[in-house]
Amino acid sequence: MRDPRGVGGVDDLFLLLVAVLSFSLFFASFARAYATREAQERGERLGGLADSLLTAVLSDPRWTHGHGLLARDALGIVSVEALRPLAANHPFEVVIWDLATEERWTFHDGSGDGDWRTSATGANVVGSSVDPARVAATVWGP
Amino acid sequence: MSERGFESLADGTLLLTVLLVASGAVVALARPVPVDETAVAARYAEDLRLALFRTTMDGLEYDRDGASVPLPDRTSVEMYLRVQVHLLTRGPPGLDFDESNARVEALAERLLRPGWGFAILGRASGAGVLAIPHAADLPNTYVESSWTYPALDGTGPEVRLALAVWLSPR
Repeated sequence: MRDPRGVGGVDDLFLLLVAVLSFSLFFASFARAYATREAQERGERLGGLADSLLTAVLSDPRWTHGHGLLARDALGIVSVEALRPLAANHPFEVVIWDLATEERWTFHDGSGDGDWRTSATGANVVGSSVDPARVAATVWGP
Repeated sequence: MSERGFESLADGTLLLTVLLVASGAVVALARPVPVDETAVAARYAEDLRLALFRTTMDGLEYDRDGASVPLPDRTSVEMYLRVQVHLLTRGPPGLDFDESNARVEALAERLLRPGWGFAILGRASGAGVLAIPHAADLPNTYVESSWTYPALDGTGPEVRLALAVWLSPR
């Protein structure tokens, strides 16, 4: 002989288990989707900042003769303070590497913790000769 | 099973189905949006071509019938390549640019970011005249930056110099 209340309880228990399982799956996938989207947006934002910083370094009339033509004599005036606004106050590092003379100019600001993106390209350092150079800009963010 | 039990079973199955579909939709919507890598690579190719072609080099030369013909110091890579294509399309046989081409190739390799392949191509009248490296094998994913120049002596076909780059993880 079965107790009707017991049978009803088992039915409710089944429904409860299914509900817990279903909502767990849903919220887990929701949380994962949110984390993925956030990471992607953060990466894109940092990548955009690194691109902007690189472009600004390669085009600033204070130390270039035009896009990608860095004036050797003027590289001395490049400073962390001059670059900081271009990086939107994020921690950053800019490296200019003259491949002909092996000279490097490095500008570093901030602790550099967290996620980061680097943008790099080719350019020239112009003095008495036109040397090939690699320029890289890295931006960190939370 | 009682009638209420069947209802519970049906409700549970429906709930599970709906939330599974919703979970799938959420995961699908959160997939990373593909970035247009071709546009990024094209911009990189343009920057690299300008940096490479503007670079000046000392001691560039070529051989003509075994005799070395030096080019002036601080000749740009661009001018060297134009001279080469010009001579190869019109010049006499017995020309050898291998030594200086190897220097240009080494320079391009250093300028390029790791993980990228490259080829420098020279064309006149649409026909390939020059390729650095010699056996440049372009994958179908390459992007190219190029510029067209008038003939060096003002007559004859235009010369097109190009730099092709592609992702080449090693």
